[in-house]
Amino acid sequence: MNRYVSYHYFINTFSNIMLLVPYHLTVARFDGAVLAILLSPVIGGILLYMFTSGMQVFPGKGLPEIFSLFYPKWLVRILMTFKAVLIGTSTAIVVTSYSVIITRFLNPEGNQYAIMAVLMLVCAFGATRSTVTVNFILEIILILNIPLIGFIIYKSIHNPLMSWDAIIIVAKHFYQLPSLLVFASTMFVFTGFMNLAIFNRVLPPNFRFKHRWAFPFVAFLVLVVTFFVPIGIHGTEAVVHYVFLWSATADSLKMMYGFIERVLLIFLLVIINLSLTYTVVGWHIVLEFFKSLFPNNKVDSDEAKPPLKTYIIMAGILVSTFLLMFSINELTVVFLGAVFLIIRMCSDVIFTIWMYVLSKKKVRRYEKKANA
Amino acid sequence: MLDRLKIILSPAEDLIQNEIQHPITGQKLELAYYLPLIDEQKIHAFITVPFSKNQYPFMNLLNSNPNFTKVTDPATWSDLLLRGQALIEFQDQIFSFDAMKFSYTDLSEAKLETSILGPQNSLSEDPIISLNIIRNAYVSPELVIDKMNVGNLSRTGLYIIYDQRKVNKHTLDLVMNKLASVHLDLIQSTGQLERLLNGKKYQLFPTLLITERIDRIGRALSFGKVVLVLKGSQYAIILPVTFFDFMHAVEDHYESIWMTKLLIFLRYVALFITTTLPGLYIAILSYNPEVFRLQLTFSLVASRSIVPYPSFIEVIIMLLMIEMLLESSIRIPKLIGSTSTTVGGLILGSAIQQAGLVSSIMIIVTSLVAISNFVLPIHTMSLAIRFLKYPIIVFAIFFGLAGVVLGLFLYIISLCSTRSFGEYYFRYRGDVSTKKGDIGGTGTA
Repeated sequence: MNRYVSYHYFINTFSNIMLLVPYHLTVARFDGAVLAILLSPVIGGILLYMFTSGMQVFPGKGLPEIFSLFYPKWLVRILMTFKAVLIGTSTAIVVTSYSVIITRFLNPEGNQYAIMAVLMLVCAFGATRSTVTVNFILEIILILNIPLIGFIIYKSIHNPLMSWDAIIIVAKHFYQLPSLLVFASTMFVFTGFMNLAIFNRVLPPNFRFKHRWAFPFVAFLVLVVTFFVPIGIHGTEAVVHYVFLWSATADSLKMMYGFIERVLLIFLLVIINLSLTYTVVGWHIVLEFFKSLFPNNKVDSDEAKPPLKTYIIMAGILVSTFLLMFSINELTVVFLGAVFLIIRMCSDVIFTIWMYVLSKKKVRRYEKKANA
Repeated sequence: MLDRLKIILSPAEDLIQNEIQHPITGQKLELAYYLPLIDEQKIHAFITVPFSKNQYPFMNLLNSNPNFTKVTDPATWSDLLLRGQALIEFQDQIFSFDAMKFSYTDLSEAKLETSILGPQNSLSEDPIISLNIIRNAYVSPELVIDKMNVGNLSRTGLYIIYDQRKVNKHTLDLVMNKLASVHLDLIQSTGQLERLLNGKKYQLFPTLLITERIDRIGRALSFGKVVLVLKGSQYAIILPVTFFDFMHAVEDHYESIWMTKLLIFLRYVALFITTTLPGLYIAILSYNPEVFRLQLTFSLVASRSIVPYPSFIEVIIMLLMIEMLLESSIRIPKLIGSTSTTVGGLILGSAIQQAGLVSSIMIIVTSLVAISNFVLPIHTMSLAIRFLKYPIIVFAIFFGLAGVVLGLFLYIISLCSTRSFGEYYFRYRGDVSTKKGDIGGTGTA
């Protein structure tokens, strides 16, 4: 069942484009981005090891259940609300950026808010399904899209216009220390394991994590591609001119044969699919965190019919996302995204270490019991 | 003998176990056989009638008639019974009597799921004949056949068949509960039963498989599935099923492996085409003509240049026509059936294009959609899929290409959230084994 863990890890990795990670990185391409890319897989890998081995001690339990084993109810509620709001913000940013991308590249005459409303309703339908269902959706979408992602990467690397000199020039700036934002952006790629906070519930009791070393390694390759390919295609200076960097990059690629000429369309297809899935998974996690706030919340990872409170919470999420969208413009999205990335990194580090300490605590408790 | 048989064999509704006592002589005869596998006339003529008339000592008959064979080893009992023998115990001796019956000649030819190399016959409307061929196809003492009556008024006989050792108990409980909760006066066909059992009322996809093929039933039983046979219907129901079972034809096991794999792939391509092509046509022509390369777009637009209305009206006209054509070809008497296809398909199709009401590309799209719909091997699924293109058309009308993607995503969500009697309907199975544990295994499912 390790593949389900990897799906959660990589949906996060691939969604970095939607959270403007390439933009933040290319802005700092001479100021520490390269060093951040080199450092983050190491730290991300250590965090992955700590978090997963922490989770392994609590089979079939999510973060809310684990925390309520050790701490009073009010503290758990505050923490879970914080996490829910954090992930809710990230999905709101993703929703905003892909509705912008759709209106800009696919439907220039369409009404952005109408498109967004339908997108959000579909995602809400997905997110209110059971945890197991969300897992299957994630799996199917990734299986369908990974060949396309591979194709786009292949196409972009084999582009004759790619300037390897530009890449080498940027790569030579590896000695600058990164700023906090740049480091947080690269760390985002490696923190997909945080989804296990809820999805640990569906993993079987005798589950063992395997091949954990491969996760950060693959994510590192993806990060390298997302950072260096646009630089090779646009050049070291022009690359900062685009907010939706990869859409512009994909639009500079061309297919010689077949029905479709522009790689952009395949890229948009992939991006829509991945962002929809990211939103579904993200909202599902938010839902589960909010549901854990209720007293005597029953955890059922494969419920036949979602309870009424799921729909009420979902409506609340939809309304607040919509309000957020009305109140911000594209510039504030970039700013909000930056703030989110930094807070998310801090929270991930803190929660990972916390989880690890708790798991050691539990082990010690059992040892005490066994000795006594 | 009968007590011992109860231990060896699984409880089956069709296993007849009789104990006959002669009213005058007081002699006892124990008799056991599987009803569907046996010619009952023979049983009467050779066993029960001579025994009750008692004109000739019954023991002498057993010893003299070559149709009776003495059985000494109890281990062979179940095997003998399953091969259409009746077992008789008389005066502490056990005999087998060959009364085997094959009902293959009574069957009609399979109409919905035809195959080239597989068995050509379908089930029968007589449940005993159906049970006969099922028992002959799945020869196992573990096969259980339960009987129950459904329908308040009709009391239609329903046989529930499964392999005792392989069946999932949870599934079986769900089926029994569901069947017990069926309240309808008349139940006349398996299709009706399917809709009653099909979980939610507004289910998009069928969660049970209706089949008439004996090889499919045998295979399903060997995978621990439950088969329902309804009296008066030549279709059986298999459950639980997954989406991928519907994409699978029985012939996939009979023919060349590489071609089969290609065909399975082709079915998924057909599935994609038949659900999205009309929507894509609208999206590309009305919203995103830049998707295709320039020459292709020009020829698409050129063929549409004489059509006086937007693309979605074109699509709706043509799809209405093709649906009517399909519907009429089912209702029409077989003798004049070819007329409707000729008039509807050929004459109307070319005329409507020449009249400039519909572009020629649209004719291609419509026929491609219809053809690829019939590539899907199971009728109920192909019907469900036939509906799927309409919501996508609506999405495409309002949101273009993004709408098509959104529609497909909606279907994936709905497929993933469907459960067929406790089994996950749509998932990539991978290397799931009981040893490694399955996802969601900690919950109730």
